[in-house]
Amino acid sequence: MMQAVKIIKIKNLTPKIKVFRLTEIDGKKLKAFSPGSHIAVEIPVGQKIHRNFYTLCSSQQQTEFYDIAVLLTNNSRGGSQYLHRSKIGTKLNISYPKNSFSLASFAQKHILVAGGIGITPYLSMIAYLSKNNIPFELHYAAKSASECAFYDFLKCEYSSQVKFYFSELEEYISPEKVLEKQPLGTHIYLCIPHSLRKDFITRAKSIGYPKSAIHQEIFGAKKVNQKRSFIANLSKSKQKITVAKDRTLLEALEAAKIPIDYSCRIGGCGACEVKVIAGDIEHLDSYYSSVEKTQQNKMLACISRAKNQQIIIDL
Amino acid sequence: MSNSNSIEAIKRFPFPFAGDSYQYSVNIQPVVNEPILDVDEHYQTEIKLRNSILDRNKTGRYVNLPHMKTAQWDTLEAIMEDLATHYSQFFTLHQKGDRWTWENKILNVRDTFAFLDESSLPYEPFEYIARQVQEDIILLDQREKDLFLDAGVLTFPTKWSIEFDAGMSFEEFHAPVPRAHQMGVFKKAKSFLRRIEIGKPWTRRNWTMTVNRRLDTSFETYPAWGKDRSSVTLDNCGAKVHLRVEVQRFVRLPRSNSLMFTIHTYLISLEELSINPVWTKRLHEVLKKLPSDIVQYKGLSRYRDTVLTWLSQNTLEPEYTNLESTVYSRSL
Ligand code: HEM
Repeated sequence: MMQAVKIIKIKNLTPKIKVFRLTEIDGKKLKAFSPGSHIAVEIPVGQKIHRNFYTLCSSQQQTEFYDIAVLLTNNSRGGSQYLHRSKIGTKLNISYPKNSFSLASFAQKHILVAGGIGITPYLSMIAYLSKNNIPFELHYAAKSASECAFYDFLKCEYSSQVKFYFSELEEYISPEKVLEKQPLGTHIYLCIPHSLRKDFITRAKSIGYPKSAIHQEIFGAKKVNQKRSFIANLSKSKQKITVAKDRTLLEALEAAKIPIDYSCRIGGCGACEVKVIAGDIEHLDSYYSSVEKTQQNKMLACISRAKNQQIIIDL
Repeated sequence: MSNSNSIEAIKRFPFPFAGDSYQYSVNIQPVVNEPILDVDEHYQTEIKLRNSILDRNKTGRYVNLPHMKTAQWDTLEAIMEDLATHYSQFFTLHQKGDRWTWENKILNVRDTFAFLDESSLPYEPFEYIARQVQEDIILLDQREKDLFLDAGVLTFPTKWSIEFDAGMSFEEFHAPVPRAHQMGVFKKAKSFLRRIEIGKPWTRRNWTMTVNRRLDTSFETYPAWGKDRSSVTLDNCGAKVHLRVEVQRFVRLPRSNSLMFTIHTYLISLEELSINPVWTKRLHEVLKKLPSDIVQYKGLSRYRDTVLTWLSQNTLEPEYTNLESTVYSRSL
């Protein structure tokens, strides 16, 4: 489900991070969203369309616009560069909001830990938490104040609840200090680099935080296996579909206009299941049980691939 | 009060079987270009019934945990927009910022209220809208990789109690269902439901049978209807025994990230059903082969054999069955 929007405001937050304000252009209200949600933005790159994911960093109370913060990166498929070059008035297609990093409804207190651009999902969360008088702390690590997105805003609006850590000043987050002496029922949220995240999780578990009280942003965590291309032979329609190494079977089928259902596109829901007649499957989903995976007779087109060069599918 | 179905209602009855046997599965289909809710010829009767049940005693019928406030407003918005879009002859919604005016021409309701301001409505937002639809509505909070039954209006259940199930997780409230757990159905279904997206609703059909045309087969009222199951004879079977189908819908709610689960219950007597021989034939096959644990779970043990006999005596040969196409054009 897509929404048509245009950029109405651009603000430089740091030398590398810009915030874009998006509003509807087709007279339809923007979809409401829950704190921690993200959208996919369609980015034209050459002949292709890439989908990049950005968290919504405006408040859910604001229904007229969405804000997204975009970090300029070199390694991306060009999405952030495209956006950074965009001007006011640029039109974009974006998905409906989706949430894979939501606030736990029964937490007594929320501890939000951010590193760099990882701050983005927390902005909508703290707007919600402070409006509803729910206790929280935000711990935010960045290189320096000038490279700390939303620094002025956070300092001014939430000074008592936010703690900054600037590595240039040799300030570092200590999982121990953050996690200890918190009330029972505290939940923690981690949007930080991998090694620090591991430290946090280890420490939290040793203190006795239940697993369900530890939350991690997961939309970037989709397993990628884009090593090899393969050919999908469709037995019913007698077509040969080449699945390039940077494409999924689902995308290749869609490009070939083969009708196929889908929902989550991350191997979790089963909507894009196809029957496999022959060929070995490399299952990358989180949907099938291990027994079903060994049966090697069906696969999820959005994520799983052929182990070898060819596979025969009942389509 | 005319309770039986018109010929049009029979034709559009959501017959649940696509084949000659039935087994539990993750039978979920997308809802495309269709309303989420159905307003049919029983609208007024069923709204009256729902109101009288809620007015008498809400215990066991209405659950609403405090953290579901936002989800209540989401529900009101989703339903009003759905009805105003698909049944504009009956319902209109005017939104000017937070000032909304809702009109329900069938019930003669016209209210102006402030969205997200509970004091501006005569009931809690959830109850307000639930009293204007035929569907039972359950709201599930999504947390800890699970779904919890944290709010609901349930006046037409098939022998379960929302009082009892309140606060339970997905597998907990499905605990009484036989064999589906072992088959992995609920684990998969839950993982699917958790990923349902805004703007992409899904649907499934569930079925059972009910003696007499009774929507309220709740746990709470069991003494009033349980004994009916011993009253079925070959003579009264066609009029008394009803196929009961629930069209269920699953909708992601945007502000709360909760899941809305609606249940529209349709009842059709065997006599009504038998105008389509494909249906009677198929029901006969399904019932004949239905595993005994499911027969027992659905409460059919006492009268299944009578129904089988009735069906075999009352199934015409399917020569004039152009109904089939009408029926299956509605997606399953
Ligand atoms: C999230 C929404 C859902 C809710 C609130 C819900 C609730 C229930 C409840 C309360 C029962 C009755 C259990 C009892 O006997 O006490 C039931 C039965 C059942 N549910 Fe669900 N359910 C949901 C979704 C699903 C889905 C997605 C499936 C898909 C497989 C499913 C499959 C079943 C089955 C097979 C039964 C047994 C019905 C029968 O044989 O008559 N449910 N459900």
